[in-house]
Amino acid sequence: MKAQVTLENVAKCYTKGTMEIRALDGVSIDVKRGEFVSIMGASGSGKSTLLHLIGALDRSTAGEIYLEGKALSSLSDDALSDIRRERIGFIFQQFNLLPTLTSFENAALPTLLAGRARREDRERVREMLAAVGMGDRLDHKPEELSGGQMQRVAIARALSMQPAIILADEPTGNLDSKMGEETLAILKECQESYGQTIIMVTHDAKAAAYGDRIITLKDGKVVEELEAI
Amino acid sequence: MLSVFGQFSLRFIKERKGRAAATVFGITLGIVVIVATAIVNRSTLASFKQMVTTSAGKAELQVLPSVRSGFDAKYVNVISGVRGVKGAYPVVTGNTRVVKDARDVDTLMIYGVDASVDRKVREYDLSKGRFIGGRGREIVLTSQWASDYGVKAENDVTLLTAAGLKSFRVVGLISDKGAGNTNGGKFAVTDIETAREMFTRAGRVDQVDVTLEDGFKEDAVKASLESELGKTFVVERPAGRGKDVEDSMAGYQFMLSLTGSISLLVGLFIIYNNMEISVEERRFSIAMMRALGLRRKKILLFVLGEAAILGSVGGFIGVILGAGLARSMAMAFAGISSALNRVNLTELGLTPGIFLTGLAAGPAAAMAAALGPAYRMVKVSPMEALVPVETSWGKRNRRTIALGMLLLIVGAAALIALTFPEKFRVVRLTEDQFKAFGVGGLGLLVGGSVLLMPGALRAFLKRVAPRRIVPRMALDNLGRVSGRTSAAIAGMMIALIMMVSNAAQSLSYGEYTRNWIDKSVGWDMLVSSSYFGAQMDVPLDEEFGRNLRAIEGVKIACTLRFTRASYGGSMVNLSAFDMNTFFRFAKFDLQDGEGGKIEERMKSGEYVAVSSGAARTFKLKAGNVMELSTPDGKARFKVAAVVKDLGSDNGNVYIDRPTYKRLWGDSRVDGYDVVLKDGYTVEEVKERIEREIGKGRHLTIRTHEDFKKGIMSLVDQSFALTDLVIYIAVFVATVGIMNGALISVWQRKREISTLRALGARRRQVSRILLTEAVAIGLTGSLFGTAIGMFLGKAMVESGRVLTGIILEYKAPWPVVVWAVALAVGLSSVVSVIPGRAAARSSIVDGIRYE
Repeated sequence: MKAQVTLENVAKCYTKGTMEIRALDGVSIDVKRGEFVSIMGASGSGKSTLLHLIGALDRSTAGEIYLEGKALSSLSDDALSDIRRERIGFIFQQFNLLPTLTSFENAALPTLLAGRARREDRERVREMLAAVGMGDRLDHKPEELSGGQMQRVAIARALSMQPAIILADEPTGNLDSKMGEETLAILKECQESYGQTIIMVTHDAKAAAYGDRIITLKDGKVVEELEAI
Repeated sequence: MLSVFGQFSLRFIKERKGRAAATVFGITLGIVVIVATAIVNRSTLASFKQMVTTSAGKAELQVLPSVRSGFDAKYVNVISGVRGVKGAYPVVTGNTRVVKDARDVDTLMIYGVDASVDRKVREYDLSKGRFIGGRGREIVLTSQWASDYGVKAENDVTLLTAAGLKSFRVVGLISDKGAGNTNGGKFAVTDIETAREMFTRAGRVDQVDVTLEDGFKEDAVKASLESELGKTFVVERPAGRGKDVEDSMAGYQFMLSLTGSISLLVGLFIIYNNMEISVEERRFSIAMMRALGLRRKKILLFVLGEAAILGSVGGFIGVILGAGLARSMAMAFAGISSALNRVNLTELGLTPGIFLTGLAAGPAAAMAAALGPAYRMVKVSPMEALVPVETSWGKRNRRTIALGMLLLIVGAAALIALTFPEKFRVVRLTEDQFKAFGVGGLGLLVGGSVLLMPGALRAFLKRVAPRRIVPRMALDNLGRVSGRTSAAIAGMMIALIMMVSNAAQSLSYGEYTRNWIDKSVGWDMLVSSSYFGAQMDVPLDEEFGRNLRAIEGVKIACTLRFTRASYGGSMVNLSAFDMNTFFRFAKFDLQDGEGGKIEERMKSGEYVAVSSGAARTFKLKAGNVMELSTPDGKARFKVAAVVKDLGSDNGNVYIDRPTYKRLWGDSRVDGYDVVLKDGYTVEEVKERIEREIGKGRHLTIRTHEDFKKGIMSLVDQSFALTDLVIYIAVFVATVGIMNGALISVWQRKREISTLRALGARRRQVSRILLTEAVAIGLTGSLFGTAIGMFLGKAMVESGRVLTGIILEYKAPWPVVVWAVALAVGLSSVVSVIPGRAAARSSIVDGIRYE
């Protein structure tokens, strides 16, 4: 199967004062279409940085990242925005819902940003919310929802544009174990039913086990790759 | 502790040079105007007092007339005869122009003295030549002035006199010691008879300087002089004079103080905004320091210390620039205030008192402005401060809404009440009460609007809730931080209230002026001596009038004299026209009185007419009796009418010239209103006057159009200063909008990053900020222009009480359109900075922001 995401010798450096920090150091990974990859590692290992680079939220210092065959370094900021909106769905640990918008509006945010307010788009958002069990909470604001409910809305938002890739950054980090399991089950469902590629960063081995492959990072380098049994 | 302060504050100032500079600018703005105002005020009075005391020499008392035309020279002997008076030294004084090659060179103050005795009272330190002899056109100049203009002893200089331009021989030069220091050296001495010819003061004296016999006390001799001379004279110590300067300074001092206060307020607003951003930006650092055990008080001291440093820099720059601005300010106001014509610009220096006050005011103002944001920040617990701000829609506060409604209603009612015609008023207010009522009403109206605005804004924006994401995000944010949004709107609103109400007044006053000129000014030309109305004392004479009437094309030449007289302890402007000719080409625009009888009454000499300003100041109406002081006592007149007029606060009293001449003993003429015969053009008659009788006279001939333009430009000028302050206020309001947006960007870092992560383009994020700014600008401008129109109407309507002038309200629609466009335009422009900050910020940092 052809790789949907390819990282070639990717490095990311930050400067803090006079110090240079190498968050990623020559990482090369291939992620196939429809694959569920878990990325693990200790705090500061570079796993979130890796996810941010794949998600076109940041640019690498060296190396190249290919997303569906396109080299991200050659794209403009607008093109990267379009990729994030159309091809990628993000799920964050902090949910990052906008406090003034309802569940429906939050979930519909990518479609609204794309300037799509057609009936079928709105229908699809409703379906997504219903699929994550939030069909009866469409008009609730984030402050009226529990952590688990907020994460479901965030998942519906990530799915609303039917992206090819879903990037999840510690999606269960702020949830209790029951809600965490439900969230992982939804992600697995996305992979299995819709063929979406999932890349999930987690430090929880139990959560990582949902992946087809587990990549472990240490000091910005890939130190281990395990295929799920 | 100092190293922590260095880390926390000094490094921050260094890193945020732009903001530090903006804070310093805010302080400088306030201090510079205050310092300049203080210098001009102090110098005006000080230079006048210095002029009086140096020119008075050894004189311990001065006898002055209570009317401008001086008094009869026979009183010099009366004064000499008073017990205790050792010497009485008469002076005829006035200002004139020095002319060289038909061009003005400078103004000189002339002292006409009795050459044989004057050196007993005044010290003339001759550096060249000799002192003036008896009669003849001889003068003594100051060495300083002579050297400035390259004049030497035994040279001739040309001065403007009532008989035209005349040559004077410079017989000597005096140093700046003693009398030579008078009027900053712009001073010349001539014989008293020569000065009388120069200023047409035959047989008259402007002041008598008095020295006392040994053993006599000033108070006793002053009392004797007063009882001997009566109430038409004023006896004062030279050093005690200055009240008239203070009085004439009152108007412009009010304007300066107003400008200074608004500038300071504007400056404080800038500092407050910047300090709020600085504190907000360091929310995390402050929380960390608090978490690590630093006490609230210490952090408060750090922020105040930082403000004090910036304030000191701003204060220092403000003091230095203020000293520079004082000169320009004095020159700018010289046309408005006669007092400032007397200022010797070399006196406009910084005194230690003003220097220290300005220097202390900088840090004090900065610390006062920083206190609020700093206190708010240290009050928050470290844990709260560590968590990013995520505000949702605030809740309605019924008490705030009720209070806002109450203030709004009371304020609006107060302003409406001021516009009621006098007969409907239950309570009669004094002018000060009236002003206080108006300012209070406006304050309540604005205060009420500000209190109601957050709630109204929230309710409105919730209801609007646009579908499109950019306006939706923008309006949502405005509603969430409705307090800050309301403050930004209020800033713009207040600035535009001022702009529109000022425009309404300017427009209405301008319209009134134009109408007044069209109705009341029936002449074709105004022929006057040079510098008519410019503090000159060189009038024309009646002989000139006879020659003028003989010029081909001249139909009427009406004799004019403008002077002042004392009425009820105040000075009032007196306009003496030859009513026989005046009514042939002009008429009074009456506000009160019988129009049919006005001509006959004014010609009789038993009546005067008063302007609307005088009627208001002195509470006069047609039929009242008015007692005016003349050199020989009081004269009673009946008020024939109240006429619409422009002019000074105290207004004008119109009198028939023959009556004035008889009672005041003054036959001088300031100018002639000229009406042309049919078939003659202004240009040809003007040319003829200059050719036939103008030679050597340095005449000023203004046409009707010139006059109209001049008056209209004066009207514009009088509103120009307020306009300047208004534009500064608009600028500050705009900066306020930008600062608010910048704070908002910092507070919404995570939200903006989320939007970007979900695929929002940079342009979309910038547009959110643009929409917010435009919404603030638009709301502020709509509220501001609406209240401004209302206030403008109230001010125009209430003008009849404050100035006695009945104006017709003119809605300033073009200014309303301009104000809205300006507010929206400026808001859009300044939104670029926060918009760029938001669009360019790192997405990863924003999401990580915890």
